[in-house]
Amino acid sequence: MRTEADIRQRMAEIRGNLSIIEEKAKIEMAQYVGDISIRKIHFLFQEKKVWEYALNQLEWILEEIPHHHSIHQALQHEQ
Amino acid sequence: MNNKTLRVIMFGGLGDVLLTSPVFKAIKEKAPKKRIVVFCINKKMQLILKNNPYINRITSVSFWKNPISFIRYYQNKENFFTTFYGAMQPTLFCNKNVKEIIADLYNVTLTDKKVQIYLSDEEDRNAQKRIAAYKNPIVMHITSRTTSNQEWQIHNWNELVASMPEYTFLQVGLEDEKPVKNAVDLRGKTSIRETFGLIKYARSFAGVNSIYSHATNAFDTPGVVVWGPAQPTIWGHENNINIYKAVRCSPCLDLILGHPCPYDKRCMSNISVDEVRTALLRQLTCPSTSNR
Repeated sequence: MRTEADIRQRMAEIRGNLSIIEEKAKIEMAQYVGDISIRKIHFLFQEKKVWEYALNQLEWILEEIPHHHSIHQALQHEQ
Repeated sequence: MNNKTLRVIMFGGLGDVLLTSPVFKAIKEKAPKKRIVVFCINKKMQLILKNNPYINRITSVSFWKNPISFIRYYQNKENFFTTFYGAMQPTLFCNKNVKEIIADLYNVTLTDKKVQIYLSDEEDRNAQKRIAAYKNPIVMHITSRTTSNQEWQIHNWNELVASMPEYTFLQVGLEDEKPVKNAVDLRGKTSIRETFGLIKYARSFAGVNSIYSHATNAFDTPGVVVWGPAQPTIWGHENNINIYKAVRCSPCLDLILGHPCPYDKRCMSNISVDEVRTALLRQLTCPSTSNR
């Protein structure tokens, strides 16, 4: 089982990836319409959605952990 | 924008023509002497723009109608504005309304963001006369020509109409569109401009992202529009209540376009009849609607 700290660290990495994607998309979209690469923005959008979904799932996991313990710790505590 | 004449070749669907209409007003405000000529790829586009006082000439792209312009276009002897916002795939990374996206492409700022439709006095009178025959008329358009993924399931529309017997639902659109039970069937019986007239004088509108949901904006007709594959921040209008329940895979309009949704349109089926009815009733009881 991962600890909350592990999950938060992974979330920070994902946010880093997401900001890279958003930055690249901003640059691409700032171009003249005819120069925008549809393949590129489709790829960037797909990546954005993947990272957003991953973040969303990790946030969901954290919501399930009571009192800032890992799931493992929580189970041990119950035993 | 420095040339004396702006020649625009209109691309996209019929709804896109309406969404481009505010830009012509903005251009004329910025440069009143500029002549605007719009070349349309079909007759319906011309009808949509008919009577627009900000356009000097509405014509066809056909060689037979405009041989000189046609040749000049292909010889690159004249500048034609051909940029279509659809190439930006707006659902992906745009987060402002399409009317402003289009205005940016023309390098103008919109002072009036409303869609522009100009009905003649006769069209206006006919619409009033026609709509007066119905008790509490609500215009309804349930079909998206862009993609059927944008459509709310037909049983929902049937249930909505059945649950509001005190209102008359007028179903507009083309003859081949699915009929809604107990709605007045005007499919294929009204022209685009006649439908604009009905929308102008109806008490409300219910439908999906389509030309007619955009037309409501021209007349401030308070409606309810259901969304799924595209987001209302881009294609919606403030006069409508836009019901949008984004799911993980939404927006997908620019990704799968006409291909069938692999999840059986869950973004649309997440919208309940009760939510649409509640929104419609709210629109129908708001002060601006009660005067209609």
